[in-house]
Amino acid sequence: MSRYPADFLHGTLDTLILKTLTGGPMHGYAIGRWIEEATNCGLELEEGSLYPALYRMEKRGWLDAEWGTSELGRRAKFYRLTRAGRQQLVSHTAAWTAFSAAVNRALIKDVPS
Amino acid sequence: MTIRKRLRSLLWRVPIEQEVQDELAHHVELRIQELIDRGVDPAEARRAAERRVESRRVAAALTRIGRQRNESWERRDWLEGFRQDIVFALRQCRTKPAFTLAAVLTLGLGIGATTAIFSVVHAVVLKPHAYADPDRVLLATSTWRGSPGGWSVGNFDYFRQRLTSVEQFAASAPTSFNLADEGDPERIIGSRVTWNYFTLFGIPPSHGRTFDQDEDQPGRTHVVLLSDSLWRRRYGANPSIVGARIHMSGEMYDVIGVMPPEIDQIDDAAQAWIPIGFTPAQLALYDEFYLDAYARQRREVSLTQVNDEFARIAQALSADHPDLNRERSAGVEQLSTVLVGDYRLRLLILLASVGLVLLIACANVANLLLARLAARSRELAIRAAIGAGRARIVRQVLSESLVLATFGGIAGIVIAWWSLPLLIRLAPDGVPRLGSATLSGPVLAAAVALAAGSALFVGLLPAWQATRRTTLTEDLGDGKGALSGTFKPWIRQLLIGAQAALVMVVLAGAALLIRSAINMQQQPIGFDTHGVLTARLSLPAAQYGSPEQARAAYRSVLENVQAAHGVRFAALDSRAPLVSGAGSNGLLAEGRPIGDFILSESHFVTPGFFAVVNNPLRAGRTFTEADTRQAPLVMIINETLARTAFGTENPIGKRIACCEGSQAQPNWKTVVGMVADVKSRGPAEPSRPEFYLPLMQIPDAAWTWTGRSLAILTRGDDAAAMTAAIRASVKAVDSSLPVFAIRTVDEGLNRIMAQARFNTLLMSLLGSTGLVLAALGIYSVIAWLVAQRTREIGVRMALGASKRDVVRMMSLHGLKPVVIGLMVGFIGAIGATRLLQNQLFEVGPRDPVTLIATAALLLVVAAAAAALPAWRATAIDPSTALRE
Repeated sequence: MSRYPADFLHGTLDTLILKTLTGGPMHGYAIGRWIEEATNCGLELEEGSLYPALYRMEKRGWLDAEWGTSELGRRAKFYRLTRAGRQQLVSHTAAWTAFSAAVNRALIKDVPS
Repeated sequence: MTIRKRLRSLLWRVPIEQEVQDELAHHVELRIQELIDRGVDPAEARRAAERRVESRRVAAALTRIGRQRNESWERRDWLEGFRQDIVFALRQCRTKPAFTLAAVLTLGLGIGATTAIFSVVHAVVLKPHAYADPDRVLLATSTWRGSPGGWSVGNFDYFRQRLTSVEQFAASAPTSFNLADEGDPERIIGSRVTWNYFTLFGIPPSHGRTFDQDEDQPGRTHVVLLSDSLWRRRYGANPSIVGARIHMSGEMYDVIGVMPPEIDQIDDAAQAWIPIGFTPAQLALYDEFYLDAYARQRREVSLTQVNDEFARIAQALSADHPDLNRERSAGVEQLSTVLVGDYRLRLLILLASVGLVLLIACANVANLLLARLAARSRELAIRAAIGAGRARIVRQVLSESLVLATFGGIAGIVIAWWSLPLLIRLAPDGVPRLGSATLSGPVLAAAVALAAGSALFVGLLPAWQATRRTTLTEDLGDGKGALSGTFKPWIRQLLIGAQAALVMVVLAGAALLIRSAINMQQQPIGFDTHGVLTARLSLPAAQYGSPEQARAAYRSVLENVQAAHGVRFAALDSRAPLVSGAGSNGLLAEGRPIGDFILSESHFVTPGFFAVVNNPLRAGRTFTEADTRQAPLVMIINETLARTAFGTENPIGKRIACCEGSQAQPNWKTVVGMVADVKSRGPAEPSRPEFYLPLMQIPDAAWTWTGRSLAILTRGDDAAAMTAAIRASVKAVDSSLPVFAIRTVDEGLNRIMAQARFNTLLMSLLGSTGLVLAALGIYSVIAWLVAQRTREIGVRMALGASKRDVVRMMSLHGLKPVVIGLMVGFIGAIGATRLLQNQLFEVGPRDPVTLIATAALLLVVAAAAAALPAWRATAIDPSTALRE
């Protein structure tokens, strides 16, 4: 049984962002929208969480950023997955799957009364 | 990290505030657009979007993270750049293997030698002493007429009762035992100590316990502590020896403990300790100064206060017991200072010298590096032209020197590791704590620091030269970065000048030490040492307590030795030649006031003594078999004593009181002979007053003073045969008696000379290494200058310049800085050699002959090193040179 660090759930947002970027470079707003849609608005993403996460991952070298032109024809910062980011996505996805399966098993089990 | 990113981070630098602001503004705009698309009123949409972003708080957080991000990028970029510089430097090393090998070996030798010497300095001088609070452990010295000596039991006790500024006051006296348990009989050196001796040093036993106060009483002293080495060697490190009884000098002793090796730092000779147990008679005796005394200073007092108290008590003592203590004073010194003694200065001089040689080595490598960079000046100029900053170029040059110094450091540690055991083996006996010198943590740290320092020293000058602002055309112009370019020859000339100055200092020191060693070797010792063998024998008190027994035993031993094959002459003496220690007595010449003693070294000898040592008789007669206790008491004195006691008068027939009797009724002995002075303590020591008494005429008490221990001296051709004869002769008298300290006088002389020889050897090695390095430096600079000026030389020769003109012109480039360096070094040497004063023998530290000869040697070597490449330049064919 693997152990989950304290910020495991916090890292979930990172994983979702990494997953979002597997489709290609995106700017911050599009990343937020995609996650909201993909989770059926299950997660409403605060800008105060999204952007710090992006900057942190950029600092760690999981993301790479470049200035480009957005769909409105404006200058925007586009984020891209790096090789390290891709590796991080794979390992965190595996950990998450194991974690949620474990939580699910517990939740469907009868509690002795 | 990708190249793209590196370029971007270099060329594209938006301030982080701007980046955050732009990104968030873009976000808000898209949000507004979306809200408007959903039908929200534009003004309301803007408010909602901005509220969501809470832009100020988010912006602050992003700026902080972004700033950290930029910093870590910069670090990564720098490290990446540095890594590339190192890779580049390594590639440079590979492409020029000869250069690399020369530089690494030069630095390795310098760093290795310095590290090895530093490990010795660390072990002997710097490392903390093994005993507790070394600052408070003091050696107490009793001084008589300014010459320091030991303590009498009465004096020690007088102080012990009165001292308040010290916590402990302990004494020890050297002794020896005949160890005769199951193994072979063996002579061991030991010590008799007061019970608090070990408490004072704060060194606990490794097994068992130390002495109780009760055991330090006469009659209760049959307990013994063993040294670690004796315990291992003789008892196989068996802990159960504690509690066993052993047989020493005819008596049984209970082993109560084993002392750890740390105690060797205080007394490395002692192999066993027993309590000293002063008898009431001894406590009342203020004569016979044979104790060493130690004190542990109280925490709250200063060393000056302790010294003041010793001086006060010494005054009280001379008032209470004026006869023997009138001109006696007492004082203390820190034991650590005394133990390390003048080795501190000697070793620090050695360390300084080896440091100078390291500097010379660094100067050489700097020189090589300059030459290599000069060859690359076009590359450097292009780098600068396409925007490489000063810092960038400095880092690149320093990377090269760092790579060289790292390899040099590794080579140095290997060299130190290999040479340190050699150094320890070559070193003379008696350097305290030398055996513990290893490449320990602090020493390795010093080696790393030396390598880092060398990297800086080697790299900074070339780096500075490489970043001097020059025009691009200047460097590209002639393709070699020649004389007009970035690299000026004067820098290299400065380096060889500095080398000459440093070598001058080291060589002058070496030359002075060599002259001292030669002077010492040639110093007449006063007697014919060749073919003289000495051995020592001690009779234990248990079987040989009475003087008759001792006299009889020695007479039999001597008769056996004299009769043995291979022994031409044999005699007994209470002291072996060239061995310090043994007894001194205060002599009173007849007619002098009571108390005007002459401190004089005693020899109690058999009549054959003067024949064995072949010591010339200056006046009177030597002893005969008739000089017994029943005959008139006689004495033979040496020239120094005769001069001190009687001036120019003929000493024969004069009378001297010594060794027995009282001041009221002196016991006069008539001087019957005067012999030549002998350097009995070694060639470097001045002759002292010495006197000789016939062994069969000495007072009975003298057998106790000498511990019934005498030296057997023989003269013959074959040392091995004499050794066997002495052993057999003693065995025939008593097979339980060990003969010890068997050696020829020449061996003893060698041992005394070992110190001078060792220093001389090391300094000569350092001096010649420095000389060779400096010569290589000069050679390489001239060779480089010649290569730069091939064309010019060709022109000159085509125009009719002779070979001599060319050689003179080129070698002067090298010799001018050398001569200036020599002059600076000469002045430096005059200042520095003063430090050698104590190690010099019959040559002054500013001896002009030595200094001028050294400078001349250096000049000749430098001239040869400069002329060789210059002479080779004349082989240039003018037509080839011009076409180049």
